[in-house]
Amino acid sequence: MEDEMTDELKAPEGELTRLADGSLPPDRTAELLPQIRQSSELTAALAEQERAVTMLRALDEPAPAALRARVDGLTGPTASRRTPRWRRAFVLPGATAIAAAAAAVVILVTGGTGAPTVPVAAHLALASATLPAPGVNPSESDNLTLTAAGIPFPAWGADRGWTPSGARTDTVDGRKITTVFYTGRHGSRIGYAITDGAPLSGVHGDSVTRYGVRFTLQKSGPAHLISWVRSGHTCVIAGRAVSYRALLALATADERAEGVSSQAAAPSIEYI
Amino acid sequence: MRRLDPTSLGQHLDALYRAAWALCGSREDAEDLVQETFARVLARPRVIRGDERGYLMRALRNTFYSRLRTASRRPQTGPSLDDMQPADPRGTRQPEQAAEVGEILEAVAQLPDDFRMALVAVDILGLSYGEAAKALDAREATITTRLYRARQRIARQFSDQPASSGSDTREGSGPERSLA
Repeated sequence: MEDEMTDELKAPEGELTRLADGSLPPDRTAELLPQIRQSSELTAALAEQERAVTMLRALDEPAPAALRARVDGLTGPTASRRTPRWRRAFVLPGATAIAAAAAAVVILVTGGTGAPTVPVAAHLALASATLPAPGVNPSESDNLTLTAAGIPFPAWGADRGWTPSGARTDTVDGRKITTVFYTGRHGSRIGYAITDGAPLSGVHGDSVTRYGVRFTLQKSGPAHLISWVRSGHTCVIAGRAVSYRALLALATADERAEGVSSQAAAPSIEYI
Repeated sequence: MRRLDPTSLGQHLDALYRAAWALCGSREDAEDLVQETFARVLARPRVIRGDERGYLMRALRNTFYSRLRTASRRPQTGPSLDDMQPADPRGTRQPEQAAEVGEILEAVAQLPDDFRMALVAVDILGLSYGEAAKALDAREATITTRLYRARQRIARQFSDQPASSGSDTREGSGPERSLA
């Protein structure tokens, strides 16, 4: 057992570990994949790693409300007593800045002159539905009947527990943004927005690469959002009280399906 | 180096709770562990280097071991009926979903200690390999090894198919074939 704990793996196995969770650099991923496909042993080992990653990273168990309240009790008033005076001076201007940013988003969405950005798309992905939910495509059960910029919206109901619950379309500065809303098993709600035209600006935050696609993680108030570029168009998934991990699992599942189905054709994903 | 901001710690609560559950194997113990970890961290002003979540992982691990040591010194008594909790007291959760999360996290809790720590750091808390190595005082390559083997065990435990025979199924081993 001691050896098992301390021995380090040879490069291939270490790379399988990273390949499975998307942390291997894209150029090395591209080199490695054909070699793995030639070996049933490596293919099985990779599949095993990927299965575990998917299972573990999709866990979305929030902390119980009682624990949150207890922790808030620890971080709230106690923390404010410890906050240095110089930092307190920034609290009010900070709140004002956040309010101004929120107002800016509203102005953009409701007819301002700016081009749409990722936060604007996210704002729409968190807004109310104005159209009924699209159905599942009878000839392609992985997708819904609705497409935007040639990209079909995924059907996540059967295997991932996110059922389409509505849709909306908006035009911001001449750019069409189509959104489908999904409701999860526990009543959580997310929106998946696809914007026509060139990739949007306003992408700030940490990014992770999965299957050669870069996903950017951002916060918008209490909501989490993930954006990426597919077929040259910006896709955004956003939700309140839904973890990055859960959103990323959905986004990567969608991209992975797309990557597999389009492997023979010209790549439609923006590889980095 | 920077001062740890107590008000920003709440954003890590959900991830830390799942990590604690995966360490303890029980939801109730996880709640206690998280609360104690926060209480310790907030007991005095802290200056941290690098990632906040990595710092919390280290604090969680230290608190976990500290609780284990304390528990081992205490006389052991069996649980009474009053100690028993329903499977999931929150009505908003789907029972099958809660059971699935619980099964997975409890399986992680059964892993050997080093495997479990690596897997919790990277796959549950979302640390990079480098951050995990720093938080767990190990080399990055060692973290990768432990992670590979931990995932292998978890995947096999939840696989519908029995493990095939052959050199690749020896527990803890990697595939024999090398890559160029």
